[in-house]
Amino acid sequence: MSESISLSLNEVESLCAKAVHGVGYPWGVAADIAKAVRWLAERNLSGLEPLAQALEKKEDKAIVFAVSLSDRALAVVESRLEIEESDSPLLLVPFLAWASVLAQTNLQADFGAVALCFVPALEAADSLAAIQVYGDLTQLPKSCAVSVDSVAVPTPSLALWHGKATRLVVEGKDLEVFARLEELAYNTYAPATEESRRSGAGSALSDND
Amino acid sequence: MSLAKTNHHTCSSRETNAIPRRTPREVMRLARMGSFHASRLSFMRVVLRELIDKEWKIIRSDWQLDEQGVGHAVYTVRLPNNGTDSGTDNDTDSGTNNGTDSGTDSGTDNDTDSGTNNDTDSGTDSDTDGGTGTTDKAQELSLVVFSHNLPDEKRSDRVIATEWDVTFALTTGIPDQATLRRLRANVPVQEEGRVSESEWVLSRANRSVRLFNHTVERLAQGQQPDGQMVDAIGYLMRTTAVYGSGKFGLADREVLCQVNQFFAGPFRAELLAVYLIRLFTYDLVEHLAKVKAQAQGTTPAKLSPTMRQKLGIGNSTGLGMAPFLLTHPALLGNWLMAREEALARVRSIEQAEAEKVEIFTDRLIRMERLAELWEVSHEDYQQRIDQLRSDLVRLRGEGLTLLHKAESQPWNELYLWTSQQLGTEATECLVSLLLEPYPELVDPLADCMDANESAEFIIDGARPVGEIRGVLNRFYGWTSPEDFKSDSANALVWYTSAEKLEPRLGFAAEGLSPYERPLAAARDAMRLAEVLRNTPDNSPIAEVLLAHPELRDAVRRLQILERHPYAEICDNTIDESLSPLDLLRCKLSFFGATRFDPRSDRWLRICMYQGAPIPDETGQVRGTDDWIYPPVA
Repeated sequence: MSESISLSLNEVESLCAKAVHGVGYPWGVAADIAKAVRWLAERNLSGLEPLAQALEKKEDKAIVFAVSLSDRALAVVESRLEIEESDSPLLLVPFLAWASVLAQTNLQADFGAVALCFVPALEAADSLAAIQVYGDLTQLPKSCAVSVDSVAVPTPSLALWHGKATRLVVEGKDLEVFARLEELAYNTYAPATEESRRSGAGSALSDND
Repeated sequence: MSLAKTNHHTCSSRETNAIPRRTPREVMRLARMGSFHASRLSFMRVVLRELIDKEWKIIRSDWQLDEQGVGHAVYTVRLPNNGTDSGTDNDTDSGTNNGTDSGTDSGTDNDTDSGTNNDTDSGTDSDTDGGTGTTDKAQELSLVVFSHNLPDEKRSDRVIATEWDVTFALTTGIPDQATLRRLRANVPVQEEGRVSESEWVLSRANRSVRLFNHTVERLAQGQQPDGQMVDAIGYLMRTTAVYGSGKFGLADREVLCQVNQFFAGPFRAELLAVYLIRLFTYDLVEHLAKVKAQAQGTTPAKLSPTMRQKLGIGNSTGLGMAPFLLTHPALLGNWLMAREEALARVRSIEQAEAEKVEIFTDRLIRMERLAELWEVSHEDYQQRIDQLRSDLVRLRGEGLTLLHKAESQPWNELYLWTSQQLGTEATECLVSLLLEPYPELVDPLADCMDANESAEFIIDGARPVGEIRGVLNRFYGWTSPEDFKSDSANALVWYTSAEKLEPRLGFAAEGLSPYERPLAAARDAMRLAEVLRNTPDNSPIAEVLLAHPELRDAVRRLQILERHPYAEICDNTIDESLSPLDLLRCKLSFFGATRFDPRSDRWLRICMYQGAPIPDETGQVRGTDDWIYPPVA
C-alpha cells in the first residue's frame, strides 16, 4: 500500500455514499452523510474514521441523528440540545452548520475542549454559515458530550473558518480506515457475471472495425 | 427563471409578445430528448468558439515515437492570461474573504505555486496542490499522449478493456521528465492507475481499423485517403471513455475553474482534450506513413488540410453516461432551459432579415448533406434517419415557402408547421437550425449551462407537507402511483457492476434489486406521493423523513426541480420499454456529437469535431462556427 493517497473531493463523497449505502442505509441518507464528509474534507478534516466507526458499530443513532439535525433545524435552534454522549461528534458539525443556515440563527456547539460558533448572517463563500472555532477540532475526542445553543455571539477578532482544501490526503491510520470503507462500498456493486457483461452492458456488434 | 445567478440578465427577458418556451412536459419526454441534434449551444462549439475568439495557441511540444509508433507526444495549449483574474488573489489573507467572489479565490492556503509539475517524486499520490495555482504556468495545458502498439485481437471499445492504442491525460503546464515518468506509470493503465490534481482529464482511444490502416497505406504511397471512406467513417480513432471531475485522482471541477473561469462550463476540459487527441491522430498516421514509405522506397504525402478537417474523432459510448442525466437534475435542467430559451427567442422574432434567412437556408441544405452521410446498421434507427432525410426535403420546399410568406414571426410559423407536419427528428433538427443565424441571441446562453449543485442539496425539513405535495403534483402530474403497480413498469434495474464499476441495466427478475442505484425518480416520487396521501398538510416534511428515510432523495429532488423546471424527465426510467439510447443521445447532442450510430440498444458510436477547423502553422485555430454542417458536395 502506498504511504498516502490524495483523494479528490468527488472521490471522498462517492466513496462515503457507497459505504453508507453498503451497510444498508438508503441512498438519500448516504448522500447527506457523504456530503458532510466532503464538507469536513474541504476544511482539512478527515471524517473517514468517525464515519467508519459510526457504520461499523451499526450505531443507528449517529447516522440518523446527524441527518436529522439539519432536517429539524428549527427545533434545534428553538430549544437547547444536550447530547449526553455522541459517538461521532465530528460528523455532527456539518449538519449543525446547515441547521444554522436553514434556520438563519446563530448556533453555538460545545464539544468540551472545542467549541464552534455558526453565524449564517456572515454568509460564507460556500453559501453556508460562517464558522468560528474555539480550540482544535483535530483533537475532538471519539466520543463526547455535546450541547447546542442558539445563544451564540461571534467574537469579532476571531478569523472565520473556511473550506478551501481541494484534496483529502489519506495517510497513517486513515489508510486502513479508507480500505475498510472501500470494503463497505463494495457491497453496492453487483458481482461480475457473463450474463451481466453481455446483456447488462449490451454488447452486440463488433466494436473493433 | 432559475438559471445560474450570475447570468441572470443574459438568460432572461424577451419582448412582450414573445412566444413562450415549450413546456417541460412537452420537451422532457425521452422520445424527444433522444431526437436532439447538436446546436450552437453544444459544448464542442463553445470550446471551438473560445479557442478561435480568444486566440488560444496549440503547439506540439514533444514527439518521441519510434518506428512502430510507440512512445509519447505532448500537445500544449497556451491560454490567454486574461482568462481569469484569480491570480491576483493569491497572496491575500485568506481570513478576510467576505465571500463575494468565492468562485475564483479559494485554495490559497495550500502552497499555491503551481509548479508541482516539477515535483521529483514520481509516486502516484503525493501531489496535492497542483492545478490550483494561478500563475502564468497554469495557463498552459498539455495533452500527454502515450501511443502503444496494440495487436488487433486486443482492441476493444468496451469499458472492460485493459489495453488501448493510445492513452492520454490533460495536465497543467508543460510536463517535465518527472511528470512524464509519473504519467507513464499511470495513464496507460487508465482505471488501474492514479493521477493527481494536476491532471484534469484521463482518456484513451482506439484506431478505426478500417480507416486508420487505409490512410497509412495511402499516405505512404503519396496519396490522400479515399474521400468516400473518410466521409463514411469520419475519424481515424475513437475515444472509449473520457474521465474528468475528480475520477481516479483527477482534479475536481472546482479546481479547473480556479485556473480559468472558462472551464466552469460543463465538459469543456474533457472536450478540449478530445479536440487535441484529434490532432494527434493526424500526426500519428503521417508518422507511420513516413516509416512505411522509407521501407518501401516511396515518397509519403501529408494529410491535406481538407482531409484533416474532414476527419473528426470518434467515440464509443455505453450505458456509463446514461445515469448522468438522472443524477444531475440541476445541470440537465439548465442545459434544457438554455436550449428552450434560445428557441423561444428565435421564434419570437417579428421579422426575419434576408441575411438571416440566407444563413438558415445554407445550414438546412448542409444539414441534408449531414443526414446523407449519416448511415447506421441499426434498422430502426436507419428508418428514423430516412424519415429525417425526406422531412428535410419538405422543410426546404414547403417550409421555406411558408417562411417567405409569413407576415410576422416567420420562424415561429416554420416551427409550428414542422412540429405538426414532420417527425420529431425533423422538429428537433429544426430547433438546432433555427439557432444558427442568431449567435447574438443564442451564444450568451452557453454561459448559463453550468449549475451549482450543492446550493440546493440540503433538505429544508421545515417545509410543510402540503407545499411538498404541490410541487410533486406540478412535476409528476403526468403519472400516478397506480402506474407503478405492474411488473412491466418495474422491469429494469440500474446497477453498478463490480467489473470496472461499470453502470449497467438489468432486469429486476435477475435478482439485481439489492444493487439498485437510485435512478428511478418517478417511481420514488410516487412512493412519496403515497406516503403523503395520509399526512396532514401542515406537518413538516422532516417528520415524514424520520419515518421514511428511503424517501430522502425524492424530497431533495423536488427541492431541485422547483428551481429548474426542465430538470426532470417525464418518463419512467425503469419501464421495460425504456430505450437507454435516448438518454445517451440527449447528452451527446449537448456535447456536440453527430452521426449517432447505435451498435445495440445500449451503446452507440458518434462522431465529434468532424469538420472542425484545425490550428495553422502558428498554432492558431482560425475558422467559422458553422463547421458542424459539412460543405455540400
